[in-house]
Amino acid sequence: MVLKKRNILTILAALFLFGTFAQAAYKPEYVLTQKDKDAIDANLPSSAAVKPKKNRKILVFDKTTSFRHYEGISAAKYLLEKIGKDTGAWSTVISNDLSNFEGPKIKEFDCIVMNNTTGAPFSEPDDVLGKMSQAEKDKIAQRNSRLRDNLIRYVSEGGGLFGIHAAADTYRIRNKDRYEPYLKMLGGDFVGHPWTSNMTEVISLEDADNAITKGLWKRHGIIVNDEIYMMGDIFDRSKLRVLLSLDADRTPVKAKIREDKDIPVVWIKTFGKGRVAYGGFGHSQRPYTKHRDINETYMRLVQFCCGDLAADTSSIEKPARLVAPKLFDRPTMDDVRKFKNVEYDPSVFVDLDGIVFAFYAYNDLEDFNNSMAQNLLEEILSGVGTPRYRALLAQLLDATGAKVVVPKLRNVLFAEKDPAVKDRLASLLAREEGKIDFAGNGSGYVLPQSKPGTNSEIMRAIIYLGANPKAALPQWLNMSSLSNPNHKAALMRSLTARGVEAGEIVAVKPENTEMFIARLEAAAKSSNPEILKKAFEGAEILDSDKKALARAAIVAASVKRGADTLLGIIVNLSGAQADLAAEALSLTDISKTKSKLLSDFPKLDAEKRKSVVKILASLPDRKTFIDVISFLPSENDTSVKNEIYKLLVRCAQNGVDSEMFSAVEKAYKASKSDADKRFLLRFAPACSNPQALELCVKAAADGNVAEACRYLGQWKNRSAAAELVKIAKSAKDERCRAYAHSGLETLFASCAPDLESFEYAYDAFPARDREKLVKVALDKPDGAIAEFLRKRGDAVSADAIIKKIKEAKPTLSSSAGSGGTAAAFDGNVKSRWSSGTPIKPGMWIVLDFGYSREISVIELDSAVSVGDFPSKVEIFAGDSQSALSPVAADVSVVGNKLVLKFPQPLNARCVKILSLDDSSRWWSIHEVYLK
Amino acid sequence: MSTDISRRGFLKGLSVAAGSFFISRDIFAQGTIPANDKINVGVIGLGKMAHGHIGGLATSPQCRITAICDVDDQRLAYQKKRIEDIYARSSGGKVSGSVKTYKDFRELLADKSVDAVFIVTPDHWHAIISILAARAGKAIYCEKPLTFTVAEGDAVIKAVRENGVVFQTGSQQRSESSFRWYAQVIRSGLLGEIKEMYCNFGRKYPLMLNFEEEPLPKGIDWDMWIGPAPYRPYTKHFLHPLMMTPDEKGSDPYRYPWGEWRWHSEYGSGLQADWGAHHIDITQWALGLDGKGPKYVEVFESVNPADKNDKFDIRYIFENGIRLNYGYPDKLVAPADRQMVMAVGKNGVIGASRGGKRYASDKRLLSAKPSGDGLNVYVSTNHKDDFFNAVRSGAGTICPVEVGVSSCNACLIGNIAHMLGRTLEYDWRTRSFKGDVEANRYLSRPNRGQWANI
Repeated sequence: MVLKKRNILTILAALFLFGTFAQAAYKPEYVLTQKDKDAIDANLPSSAAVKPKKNRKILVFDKTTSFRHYEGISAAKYLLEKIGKDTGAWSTVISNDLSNFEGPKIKEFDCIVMNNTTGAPFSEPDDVLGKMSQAEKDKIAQRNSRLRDNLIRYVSEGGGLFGIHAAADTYRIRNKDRYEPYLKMLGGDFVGHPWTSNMTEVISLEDADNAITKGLWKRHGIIVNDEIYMMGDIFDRSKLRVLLSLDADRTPVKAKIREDKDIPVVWIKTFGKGRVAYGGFGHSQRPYTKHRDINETYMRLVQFCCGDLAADTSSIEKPARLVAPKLFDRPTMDDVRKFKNVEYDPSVFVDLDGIVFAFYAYNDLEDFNNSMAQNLLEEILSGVGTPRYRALLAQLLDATGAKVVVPKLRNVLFAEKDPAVKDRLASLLAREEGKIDFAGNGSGYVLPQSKPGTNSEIMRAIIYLGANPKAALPQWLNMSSLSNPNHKAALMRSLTARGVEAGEIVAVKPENTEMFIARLEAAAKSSNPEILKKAFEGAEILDSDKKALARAAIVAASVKRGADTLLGIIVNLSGAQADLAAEALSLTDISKTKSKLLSDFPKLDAEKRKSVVKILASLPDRKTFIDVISFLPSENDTSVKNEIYKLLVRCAQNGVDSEMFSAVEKAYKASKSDADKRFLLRFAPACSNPQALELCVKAAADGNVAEACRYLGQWKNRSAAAELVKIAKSAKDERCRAYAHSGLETLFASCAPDLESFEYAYDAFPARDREKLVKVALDKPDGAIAEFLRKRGDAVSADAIIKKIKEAKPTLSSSAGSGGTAAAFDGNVKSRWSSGTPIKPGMWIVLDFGYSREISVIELDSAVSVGDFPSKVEIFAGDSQSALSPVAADVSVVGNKLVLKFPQPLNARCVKILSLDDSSRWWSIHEVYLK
Repeated sequence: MSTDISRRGFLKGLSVAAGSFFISRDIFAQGTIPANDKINVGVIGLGKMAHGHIGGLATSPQCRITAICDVDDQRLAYQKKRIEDIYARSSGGKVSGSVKTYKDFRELLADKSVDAVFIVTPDHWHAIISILAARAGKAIYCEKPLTFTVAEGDAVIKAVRENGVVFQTGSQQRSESSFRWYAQVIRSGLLGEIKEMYCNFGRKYPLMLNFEEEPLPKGIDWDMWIGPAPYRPYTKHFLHPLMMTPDEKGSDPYRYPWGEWRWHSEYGSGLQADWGAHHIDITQWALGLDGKGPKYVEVFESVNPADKNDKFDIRYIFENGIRLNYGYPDKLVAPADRQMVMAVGKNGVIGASRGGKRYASDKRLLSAKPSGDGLNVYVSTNHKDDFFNAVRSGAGTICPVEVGVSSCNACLIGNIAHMLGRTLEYDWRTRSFKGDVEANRYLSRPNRGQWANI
């Protein structure tokens, strides 16, 4: 075999990167669904290929120590056992008992099926070996070498071996478990799959006359989605017979493939006195459920291995061109003649499509084209049929390429009268004679040698010169010879396209909007900041309607130079130029320019400060919040202040963390304006930490009682309740007390009340509000409050609360996957909730206990789904899903459990666990334990 | 400005007024800008699509329709009166300029007073008219899909470049804010590595429709309608007579269905190119593949319920491995969020539709700023104005001929793969298929009769 070894090895190196990985413990076996089974049953061969010479016994073996094809393994087990039983061709032993490969026992089997084995199947997986003593490991190593040699000896002495899919990924990995005698016996070694199971792979039939394929694969092959394997340099076509292969010309590839594009999929060979077969299908159950041809081929391969079905194993050359699978039967002239009487009639269009598509489908076969072209031409010459029929014949002739009849076509054409036939034949002849459709015979445009008399002729010359940079610029054409500013703008653009220096273009003074924009476009091609600055001159001329185009040109310019130039323009220039630069800057990503904007801020006048705040608002994140809030206390200009307010609110949309709140507190303390202080308080509930609480208390003491109570009412946890009670108790007047009561009422709607606050409210609120309070107590059941109500004589409510607590059931909801509650709180560690997609930052689960309770430890048990949890999480807790705030927790991994310990026991109804991890694993939870 | 130049409507006397070209209609109504500063437009093809275009063009302050062309006398008469009425009404009777009518587009192209042409014919005519219009020095706005074959695309590009004319492809979705946003987000890298792209439109590959032969209505030049394509007898399904008598469906003479030549493989390229020229165009724009094209057209089995012999569907794979599928990313977006074009990236899913509709799985992307390559996304807010602006000032257009051709080619190679029923590898650099001689034959189609030597 001619193969450039070096190239193959380079590919190998790349493929190994994803070909080998540490294998975690295996999952439970895949259980075929009834749907899988029904689909396989519907695609089974009806009888054995030949009657077995005697009772045959096959061993189906699927031990893996590396990747495991769960679905493929289970499906092949089912398929082979079922075919054996239904046809009587063999009896099946499905077993991974290694003693079957020992001494004389192996000879009991007529064929051994390596069913998607991987790694070193006579050894053990790394994680198992890792737990063994050296003595045990040595024993396994001895077993491994003994049994693989037993297998090879068994085949060479007359046994049968059928390798399915990853059988070629067995004893294959270099510097690990590679054992070439096995690979050479099999005939190939997996090196990668430059296509994946969700891409289509085109499988072509190479040998239609072999006993294994005869009568099958009527369409010359099939299209599968099955992650077919590519073989490496062990594969040698001269030593085996390839029956089916992958059509590398028609299979889209994701990675590099072998230079010779030889990708065998099914082959047979001999080894010593034995017989060997390989079938590349079976990555998953999918091929077995869809393709009868595969199932029947596999049956024949087993019968071949058993020695019942004789098949030619001599090598054949790779065909020069593989035949793509067809979904149509090969059309004959009889099929064509059925249309002899067809008319223009829409009711037969589907039939016409049938014959036309069938011809196109087979036009990659030379013998088809040649014989059909002859027949079709004769049919046309015979003059039989309706005009529509004869037009169809001409179209079908076109589908064949008509190469062999081209010499006759000219005469036929001369005699033909029907325009529909004549046109099609003429077109065919022209194509075959290689006549170019568009010779470009038109008189090409010639540049005028003196200035044309009309504006449009001038414009055409200018545009032509832009599109054809090699054409010489005529003498009459330059900036000063033009009077129309639109012509000048066009010339600037054409000169830019011709590679004229941007500096030369921006030196021209703009006379209208178009010239101004043309200068910006030229500047965008240059990387010189001075040129961009210069291009801003004359911004006053820009029409407001065209600002968008100008901004787009500037923004494109800043791709090359960052935003520093624009910043320089904003800071150093004024009026229209600075405005335009600011607008453009706010359209771009300013993260790199920000520090400069901030350091310049205090030096600028009010108008520029306003521009800068607007630009900064285009990056509304927490850092911008912290940076800009510091400008607030010293800002005197109302319009700048309003811009700062807007920016801060926008930046806080995604929440206020403690660092942001420290900045709020600092600004509050520095601020002299009451309006600013009242504005700043709004960030307190978004944060809801002790620091924020303290600020609200201070604000209330400073006289801003209304705002303080309003924001305390919006608190994310119950800690604000006590403060509101304090404010109410110490209120100077009824108005202040009413603010505090109103705050409490709002707070109780989202956070469960603690006993003290509830007691206060129960006594202090007007009697008509008691009903509301009881409803709050029922919504957020709490034992202490129940007892309080009982003491006050409301035993009915107290009982209802206690009942609710007793009946509360925890639930699990999540941002991905479903059915969490059923699996995580069912006391069954076998059932599992999973995210169904890889863990990403932002993925979350929420545990809702049904009432606010004390909790100190949460254990999320991933059981057999080893490692299926995020390695980094953030924890939130609160009395409802809408009132959650961050809480401190010690997160550890114990066994395969993610354990959250709360240093201070929580009193919460909901706990949210947010992933900060980006992983390829899913998140799986088999059971949740609460303490 | 020079006053000695002979009358040419185009661009005359602009030096004073040029600064305010995009004047509002009110200013125009006051007569600030003389009418002869407008671009003189000729409309070629007066079908259903042109009917809509004319409504916009006749009321645009940018241009004036001075000539129209069609193979049907009835359409010519109807549109001539319609346009003249609009002008008379909008000028309070002051403007009464007449619209010239042509039955052969070559005569319209020879009319020196026409500055720009709108080519609104069936697909099989686009290339020849574009080429001859370029040679006549006309600015060209040509409807999509730009050509009928891949070879035609090369010829149109050559003619446009060689003749120094402005060219705009009628893929007006590019001038819609939602699709621009879509391209900007993807090209800015905000969606992360792109996994898959989706386009959604109905399934209608070109088929062999076999409509009945009907008597040719008076006043229609059917041979001219057929033009460079193979002949077939007249059918109203391809060219419906105007419906001049009001009925229960209304009084619009254009209330007949869209011309069904679109779905017939000898005159049209199916919905594949009809909508593909929009959605695949947007996809290539968003992937930064303008002027290029897919690497594979992957064919897979999928039977059309409407035609059992239409057995294949296709998807595209670009050089970078990104796949373009038809339909939606079903498992990732709820039905209400599905859009005409959608992209799945590492950071989520986005989509855009006509009417400014946007979808983003991460809401922050809805107001995201472009950066990096996203800044190179051309901004146009009005497709026709973008064209007129280019005509006046030599500025580029948002969808120049090279881009319109590459988007159209992507659709056309899909049709070839579908017709042959086999996956094809395409090389956009040579605009041909690798390893399939037969497939390469369908990249061109020799033209009929007198149209063979254009």
